[in-house]
Amino acid sequence: MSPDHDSLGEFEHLVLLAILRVGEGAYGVPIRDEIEATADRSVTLGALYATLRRLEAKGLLTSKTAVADDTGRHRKIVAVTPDGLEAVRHAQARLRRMADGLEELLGEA
Amino acid sequence: MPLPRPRRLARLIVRLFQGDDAPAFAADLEDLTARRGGSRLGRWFHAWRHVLSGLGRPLPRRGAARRLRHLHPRLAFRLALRSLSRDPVTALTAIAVLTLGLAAPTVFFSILWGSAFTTLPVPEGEEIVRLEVVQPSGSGRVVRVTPEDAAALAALPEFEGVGSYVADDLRISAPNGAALRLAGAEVDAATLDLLGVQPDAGRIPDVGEEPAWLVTAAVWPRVRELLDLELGESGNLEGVPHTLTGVMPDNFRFPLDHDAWRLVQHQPGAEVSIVARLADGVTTGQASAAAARAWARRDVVREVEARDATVRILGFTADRGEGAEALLMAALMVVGVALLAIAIANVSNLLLLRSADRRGALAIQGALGAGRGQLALQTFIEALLLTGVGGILGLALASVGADYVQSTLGPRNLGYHWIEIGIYPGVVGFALLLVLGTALLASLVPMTRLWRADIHGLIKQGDGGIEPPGRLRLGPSLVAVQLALSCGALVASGLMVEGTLTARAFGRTLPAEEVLMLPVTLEGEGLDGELLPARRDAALAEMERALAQVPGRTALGTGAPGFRELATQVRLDDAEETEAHPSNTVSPTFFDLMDVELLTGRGFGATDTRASEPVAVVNRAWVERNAPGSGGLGVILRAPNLFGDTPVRVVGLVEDVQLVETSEARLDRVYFAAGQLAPREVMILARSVDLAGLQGPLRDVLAGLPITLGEPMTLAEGHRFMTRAQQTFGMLVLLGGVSGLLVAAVGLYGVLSFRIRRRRREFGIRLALGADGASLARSVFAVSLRQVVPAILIGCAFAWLVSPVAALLTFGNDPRAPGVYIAVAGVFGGVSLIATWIPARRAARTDPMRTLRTE
Repeated sequence: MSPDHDSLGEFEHLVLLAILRVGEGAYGVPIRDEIEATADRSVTLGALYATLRRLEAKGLLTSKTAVADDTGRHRKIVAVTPDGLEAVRHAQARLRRMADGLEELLGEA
Repeated sequence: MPLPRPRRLARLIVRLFQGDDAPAFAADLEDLTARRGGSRLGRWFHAWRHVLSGLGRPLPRRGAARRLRHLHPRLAFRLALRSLSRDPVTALTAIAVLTLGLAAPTVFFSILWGSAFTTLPVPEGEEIVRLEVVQPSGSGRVVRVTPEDAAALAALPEFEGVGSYVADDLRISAPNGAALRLAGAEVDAATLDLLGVQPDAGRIPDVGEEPAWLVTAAVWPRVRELLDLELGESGNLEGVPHTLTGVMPDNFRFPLDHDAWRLVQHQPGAEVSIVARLADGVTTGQASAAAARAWARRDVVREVEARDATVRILGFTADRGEGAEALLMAALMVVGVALLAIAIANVSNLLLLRSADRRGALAIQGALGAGRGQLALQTFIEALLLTGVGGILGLALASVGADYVQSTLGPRNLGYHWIEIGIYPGVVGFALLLVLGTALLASLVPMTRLWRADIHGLIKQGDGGIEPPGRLRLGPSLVAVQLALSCGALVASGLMVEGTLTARAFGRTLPAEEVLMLPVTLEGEGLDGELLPARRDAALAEMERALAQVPGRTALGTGAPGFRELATQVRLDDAEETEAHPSNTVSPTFFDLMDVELLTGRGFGATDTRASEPVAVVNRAWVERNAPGSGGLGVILRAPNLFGDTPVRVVGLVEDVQLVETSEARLDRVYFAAGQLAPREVMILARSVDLAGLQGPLRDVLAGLPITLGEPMTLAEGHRFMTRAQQTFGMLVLLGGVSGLLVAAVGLYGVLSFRIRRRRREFGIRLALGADGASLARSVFAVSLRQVVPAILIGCAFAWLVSPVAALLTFGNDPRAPGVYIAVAGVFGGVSLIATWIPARRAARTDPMRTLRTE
């Protein structure tokens, strides 16, 4: 695992999970909606796009610009790479390890 | 709503920060906004929130920012320097414009800073207040404040401490014979105590110790050098040895900009000023109310009307940017910012002109591998160099301006407390920000043009790369707006200058330069409140006798026309209510001295004494205002505060004194005889063409009398002193207006040069076909006139419309005086013609062969 994966930030983590949840053809608005609906967190497009570019630079996702058939609009379609999937797994495991033994305190028992 | 309005700006931000993702970003934003619903305004805010949220993120590695990667600032600096030195005329013009454009807002900001942001010279200075006594309306008497008043206030719980002081110059002579005069004050121990400032060196002595004085660290070196005095050593103050016991901190000033203090215990009944520190949580309003109650019930002997005086508690900080001055400062700030905006637009135009001019050079740079980013950086650095030099010069100019304002508006001239205008670090910071902002704004348009330029096109065709300036929508319309704006500013300053000039012209019909005013205090006045009227009569008579020996004309009066004149409550015999009338109590020789012609009846004479029937002399304006058609003579009036119920008969009618200070000034005067009233506050008026030679004999004959003389001043000086604030503000606005005119002229020049450059080929063809240079020059003038004439009309119309609002700034002059508008239009037209003449001459001298060959 590259050192980059260790530095997956909280928002990056959320974005990667959201892309995975949206599935194929994920782009700006659905990703944002997924985070807002599931994580209950307000997201601006500027912040989202900046994070997508950063994740792409880290090699954790790929993107292509496509033109939607119905509206003719440009879409930045993103997909999580195997490295990205690995990074998410790693981050999840790290979280679980950190929470080990705290189930009672965190109300998860 | 794909992108929020203004769309251009939103598109620019999105393109810059989203790079290649910009179309997808815009589409997503459209989706989001479309389904949001709500009000239009709400959607607008929502959309902008998404656009701006990109700003705080690091620049993307694609698109626009990729071009910024390989920048060479040092190379850009060298090239910018070289290109500026190749065209020194444009560079110097831009620098001159920027100097003016940056100096004006810097000066205005320094005024704002000096009056609002400088540290107060005493801890918790906002609690320091003073007592102001508003003289009872129309009594014609001046009410004094005494140490007893201070004691009465000190007993109130609203005040933590109350002290008394007298601001007066201190004359110190040292054992070595040297003497020094310092702006100082006589303060009591309570004053220094309540101010709470500890000396840097030495100490504040206790009450009852040896006579002592203190100085600030600011003047301490001068004292040490000139007087050869050390701490703890004695010098003579007013002939009595005083020990220098302490050196106060550098920035400590009290009461105004005074910096030396003699510790005294004020005598009962002496005239003093009162300073106090408010108790915790007490407002000036509460303190005023408490002080007013104490004033009304105080048992010190006072005249009845003196009890009617109203007292107020005012904060020392109240002068710092409150009231009418704040309005003036705000107005000046607006003028300054407008001027800067015009300067920025013009420098931007000039830079654009240059970059259009240097297409060839840029093309070669591009061919050699310079990216758009590099070229844009070079443009920015050019702008920064110009603005930097302009900024330094502007700061120097602003420093002169700030000194001028400080010296004319400064504390001792206007009584502004704790205002020190200067170029502080904060002001320098402001100027630096202005420089950076100006450089950025001025280079923004040329940079965007370069960014969009087709460099390959430039190399291939030598043209088409940089958008021709004619298509620049900013160009002509911007110049028209700025011409109109500066025309309006010039009208405003013209009105103010007219005000200043007429204020200066005051005294045209008065011998203002030949009249000396010498305030007099009768000795013993103030002790126990009052002198007995009989003693006052005797003192005045003695003074008159003494003055008769002086060569030249002399008189006594409570005031001079337009200077220290009082108002008296007067009621005409048949009227119910009294009304305040401008009045002056004068000796018989007053009218002759002032060249005031007696029209009918008589003036005052030696027979007008307390024993005789009270009489008055009125002027023509008074009759027109109060008793039209009566001719004045024989009119009976009452002045209850002066003569009780006894009727006063008008015995003489005199010409109006031409007091043209403002058009609203009241000219009507009622004169009372000094012999019948023996006023307390009186001035000796002396007239001579050789005032300097008159002062010696004057002091000689007055030497033995029981009076104290104040500072002499000519009537002209007195008037200048009183209108100083107006003159200073007038001068500042005039500078703003003239700067605006110059800056606008440069703008006009820039746009015309642009157009001529664009039409060079056309001119070449026309010349080749037989046109002469003069006809080409005429066509340039025609273009200029199409810009200038509407601008003058719009500018004047705008000034005409808003002038009633600006009446405050014109000091009572007619804000629609046609002369000012005509003069401004003339000056403006003249300067515009000069700005047109240079490019027109260039057009006339076009060489058709060369132009057609090269274009």
